Amino acid sequence: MNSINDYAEIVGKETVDELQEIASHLEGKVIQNINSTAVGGGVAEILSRMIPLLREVNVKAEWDFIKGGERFFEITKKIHNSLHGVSDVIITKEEFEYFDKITNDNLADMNLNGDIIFIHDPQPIGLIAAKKRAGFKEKKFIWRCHIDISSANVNTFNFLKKYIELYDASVFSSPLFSKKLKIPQMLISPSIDPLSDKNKELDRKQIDEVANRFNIDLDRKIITQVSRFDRLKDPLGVIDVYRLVKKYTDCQLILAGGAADDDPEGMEVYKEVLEKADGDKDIFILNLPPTSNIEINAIQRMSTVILQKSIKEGFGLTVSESLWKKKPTIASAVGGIPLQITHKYSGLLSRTIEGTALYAKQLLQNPEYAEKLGLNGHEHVKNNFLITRHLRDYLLLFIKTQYNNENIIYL
Amino acid sequence: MSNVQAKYPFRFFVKLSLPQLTGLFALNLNDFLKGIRMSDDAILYYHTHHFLLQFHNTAPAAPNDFAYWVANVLGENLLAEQLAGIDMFGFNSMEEFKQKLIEVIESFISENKKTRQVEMSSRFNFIKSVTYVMDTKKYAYSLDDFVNILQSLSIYCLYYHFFESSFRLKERKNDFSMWIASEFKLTELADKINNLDPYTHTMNELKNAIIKLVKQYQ
Repeated sequence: MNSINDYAEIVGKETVDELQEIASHLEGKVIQNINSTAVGGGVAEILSRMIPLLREVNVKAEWDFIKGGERFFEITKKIHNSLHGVSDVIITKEEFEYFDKITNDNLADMNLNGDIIFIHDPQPIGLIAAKKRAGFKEKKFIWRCHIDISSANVNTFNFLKKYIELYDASVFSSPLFSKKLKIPQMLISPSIDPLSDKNKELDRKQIDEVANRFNIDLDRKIITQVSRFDRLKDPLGVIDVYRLVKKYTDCQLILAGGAADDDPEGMEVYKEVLEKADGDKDIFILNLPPTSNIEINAIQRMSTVILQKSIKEGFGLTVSESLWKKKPTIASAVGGIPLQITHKYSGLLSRTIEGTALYAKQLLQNPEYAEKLGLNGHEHVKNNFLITRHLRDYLLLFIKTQYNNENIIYL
Repeated sequence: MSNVQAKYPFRFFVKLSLPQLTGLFALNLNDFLKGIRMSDDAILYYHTHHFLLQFHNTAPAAPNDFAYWVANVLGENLLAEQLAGIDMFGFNSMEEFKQKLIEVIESFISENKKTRQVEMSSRFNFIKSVTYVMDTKKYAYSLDDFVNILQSLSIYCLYYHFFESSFRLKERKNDFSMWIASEFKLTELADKINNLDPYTHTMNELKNAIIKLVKQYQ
């Protein structure tokens, strides 16, 4: 695990010193993070890096999980899709009741010992019921929404809203993701960790080793999408893009991803992708275990162009990962992606299969333009989407809970 | 000059901020004008300063969010240029700046009746800054100290002493120039720092420019 001082080489010693100074204002406070899974997906990934860093700056940070089971996670996946606005999802009354039942089981089992209880995403949202307990008056509860709820199904949102508005504050990744709420809504973008296995510098040998393992030809151009196998990431659309590009430019396609513990749909989508690839030897469909961070890093670094053709996104951190590696990136203009890519400056934003294919051809045939976009993207990520900025925002958020709703806080 | 000691030291603060949604948004120019009328200092401050921080190593894309949205979403380039051209440093308060924004937009609307209505996904969200002023507990008694400490602090130090100062002091002045002029009588250096336009430099360029100027007088 990296020390906070290791980040000084990237963001400057002054930034690291400042983080420690800010953190000193949380002395004695316990920050308890709660989500639904330790591995797989963006939330677990961010927490697995953030918690040690909070501890590095002497904040007492804890991380706990709720228990669910297969039926609960099938329901929460439906809630997730429904919040994203997927129209054919129906959640029954019985399913909402089962959600509440599991919430009550968790309330009975969990020790909510934090001074600030930081709940991530909808799965554990009902734990706010604990706020009514005797002795909990001084505790602050914050709900962190990592997903885009701007076009959420009304019934699903109303079910969650009764919980959300009991929190002391909420946090969203983009202004576009939020809804009208009675509680303060803070804006905090997620981040990537430049020193993690997924993002750290790799030497040529490591990249070659991964390419050899999967029989990828590094002498030919490579288009890549890294995402878990999820319909909202449109892996089938990516294959369509590849086929349009391949008519004009020889290339390979890598679809690399895995499945999270709380996503039962993953295997089904993976099979659909295999079927659509139809045995094409230039398409590499890599269903990787969640620990494959070096492999993902190497795959991104060996790529010529990286896509993120999502239909819906929370924030789409794979875009920042790609930009950090100075890769020309084409991504859908959805969710938090336009915050990461300024069109034609730090990448390209697309809306259709045909548009994505056109941009991919442009980048494959114009390496100088591609390189410029990659370099600008790297600088933008350095300034805005690294974990040190995220850590600072979280520290400020936790401090804010101690000051009611003041606009100016003197430390 | 490097050994001359100040009677009163320079005390360094940093100004940090966290954005908070207000629930107010605009889909067209009339809503936009209404939103600006309802905006307080915390909202105006966010939309005129977060760009500087977001692009602190690369060229600033636009001097403020208002001009950016009008240009890139509404596509009203004339108005965008007028909004971008308003000299923030020409005002002693955010309220004065706000009145100028209102005047420019009203004038544009009176001459251009038809303006676009955009989709919800392209709306202008009025966001406010929750501000944190943090005492670094670092004090400079000499220009040597001043340069060393400024080098050791993040760009958020400039945010407090260079940007926020002109509104706090109600005139176009910054804390660095005030201290240098009063403690060392170096009015020429103070003026040179004061004449740096913070809205046409990136934050890192500005910090380096101040350090370079002070070093010439050490």
